[in-house]
Amino acid sequence: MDPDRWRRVQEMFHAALERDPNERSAFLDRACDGNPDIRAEVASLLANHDRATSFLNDPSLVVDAEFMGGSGPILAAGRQLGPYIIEGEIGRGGMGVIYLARDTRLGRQVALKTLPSVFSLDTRRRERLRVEARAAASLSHPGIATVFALEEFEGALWIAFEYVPGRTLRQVLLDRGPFPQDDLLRVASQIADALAAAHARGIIHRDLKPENVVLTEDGRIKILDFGLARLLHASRDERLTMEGMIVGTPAYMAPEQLQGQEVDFAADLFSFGVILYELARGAHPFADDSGSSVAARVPQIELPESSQTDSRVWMGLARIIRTCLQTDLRQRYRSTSDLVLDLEALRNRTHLLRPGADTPVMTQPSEQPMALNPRWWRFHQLAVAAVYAGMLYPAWTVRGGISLNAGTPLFFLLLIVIVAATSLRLNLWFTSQFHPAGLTRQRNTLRTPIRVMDWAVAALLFGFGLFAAAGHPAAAAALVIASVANVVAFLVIEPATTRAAFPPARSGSARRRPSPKPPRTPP
Amino acid sequence: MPTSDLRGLVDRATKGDRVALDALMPVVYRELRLLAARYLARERKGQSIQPTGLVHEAYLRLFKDKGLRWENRPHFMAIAAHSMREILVERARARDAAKRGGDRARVTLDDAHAPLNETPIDVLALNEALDRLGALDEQQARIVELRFFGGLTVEEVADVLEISPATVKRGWTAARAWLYGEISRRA
Repeated sequence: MDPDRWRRVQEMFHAALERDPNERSAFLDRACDGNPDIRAEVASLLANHDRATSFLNDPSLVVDAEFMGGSGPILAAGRQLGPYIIEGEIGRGGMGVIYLARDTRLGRQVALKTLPSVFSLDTRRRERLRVEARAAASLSHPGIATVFALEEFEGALWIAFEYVPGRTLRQVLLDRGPFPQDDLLRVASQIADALAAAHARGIIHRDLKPENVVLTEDGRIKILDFGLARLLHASRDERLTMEGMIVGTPAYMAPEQLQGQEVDFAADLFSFGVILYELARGAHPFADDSGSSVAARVPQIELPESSQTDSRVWMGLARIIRTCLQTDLRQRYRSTSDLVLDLEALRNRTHLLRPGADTPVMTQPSEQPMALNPRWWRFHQLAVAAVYAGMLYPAWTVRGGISLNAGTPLFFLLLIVIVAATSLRLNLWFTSQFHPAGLTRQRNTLRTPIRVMDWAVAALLFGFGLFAAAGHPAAAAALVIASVANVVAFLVIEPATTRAAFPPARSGSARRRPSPKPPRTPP
Repeated sequence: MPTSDLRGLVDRATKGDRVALDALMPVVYRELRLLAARYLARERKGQSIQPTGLVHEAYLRLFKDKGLRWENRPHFMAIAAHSMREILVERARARDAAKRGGDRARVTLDDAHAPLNETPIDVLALNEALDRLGALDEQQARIVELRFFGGLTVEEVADVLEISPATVKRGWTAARAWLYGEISRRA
């Protein structure tokens, strides 16, 4: 049949349809006179038309629902696939059935999942999927369900992975509603830990959601399908499987992921933020409906700033969630370990707060650490670094005045200490300027080294000043003044600028207006 | 993706921008798949569903009410219907893959004679037949895609294809009879 012929057949067909069924045959005899082939085709079309009473009348979804509604697993229990014997059905999702099976080689239970449509892929793309499966299989972490094998049976690819008995966070949420604070922080920390471990190896989940996190009976979590999102959503359509394709669940996907850009770990952080919000509040952050649409994604999140339980923890949690849910991925945590640290800090805080004591908190919440007035704090870091470096000159000038030829060695000691102290300060300044999300962590890490260096610089400058008093009175005076000013600066001024720069842990009282450093210029 | 971006994409795709179309397809596809899964879940629970609403709902959810210019709506419908076809074909292939080598359903004489009206449609066979129909008459294949996979009414299809409802009806009638013949011959 060609298009022309089809047109002629149709014309005849429609003309015949307009006639009484009893007259059709005679009509065709007349109309197709001398063209029996066309007559036969029209007649068959008419016959099919009569038979096709409800054919295609219901839209496709009804038809497909019959399959989905069909009861019983597609593979019956007892059926063998390679070394695996199917024991039952664990779950059924939009993309296929997950089976519980026994691996006869090792005698252990595994979960088996088929990869839709993969059998129709070309070898190159198949190979790429294998590479991804291999990467996923290399992940070994207590919080991640291990991928055991990628198998091929009868033209289809199957993934065998660790069978994790337990309930998904979705099921738990449905049963219990929002998580109590303690549970929430514990679960969140475990998920973040697992994420950090995978991200450190460059493996991204891409489809993190409550359905993919299992809570086992002993209260541990396991993330399912890690690194398998692209495999599980493999499509025969190249457009949907190319690099940067959209895989995942829209309601949990980061904006950049929804736009089809290539994603990195920050996309998982976004999904994590959504989950955390859901666990905390029992509802999805972007819509009333859990199956949020793309358009419903609004970056404004309303978290209650106070709660009956413990408002400070909630506030910390809200900050973490907001940091994760930033539309701009550069505004999220710069690394997953920052998130882990923030959660840890929050957990420590709850422990500290539990007895009701007003104990100082180990860390500040990290989001928007510069909320108040960071300018003087930043200036302080730069000024101290500059003054330290400046003091090298008078110290060099007066080194000869130090007895026992110790001047030059001592000067080099001072040089080393000052280089170290200056670097630490500049590091803080740099972090606050370009990586604010990591600042809290950096400040905590550097707090002690900086304090030690400050004291060392002060002591050395003071020593140089005393020894040099006879020969170079002016330089000596500058050194002693610098030393004392330095001690005053880090004991009195810096705490003030810090309080001004960072949201106070609890003391709202003493917020002095910070003053610039005292003049400590070399002569 | 913000609504405004999507709107821009549909605008550009409508004007024949391949890049915009390629960017749009996955979004529509994902949304439809999500909706389809939820419809099917409801169906499993025995609740009644309105599958014709699927594409419309996807449209409403993606664009909310502060919508797309109305004249672009038909183009969105066309994209969505095509996506539905891909989704169902893909699922059917996956199903086949899972069944392969499994207990193949034995076809009895009775089954073989059962009219197609009462058996689930073989989506893969339909897909192939539809491709063949497209070679004969592109417009008719699109009518079937819009009606069957998109769940659109005759009037809506007429709107999308910018032809009269009468033409849609005629094309639909002929295509349906032809497809029935094709599928039953190969079944």
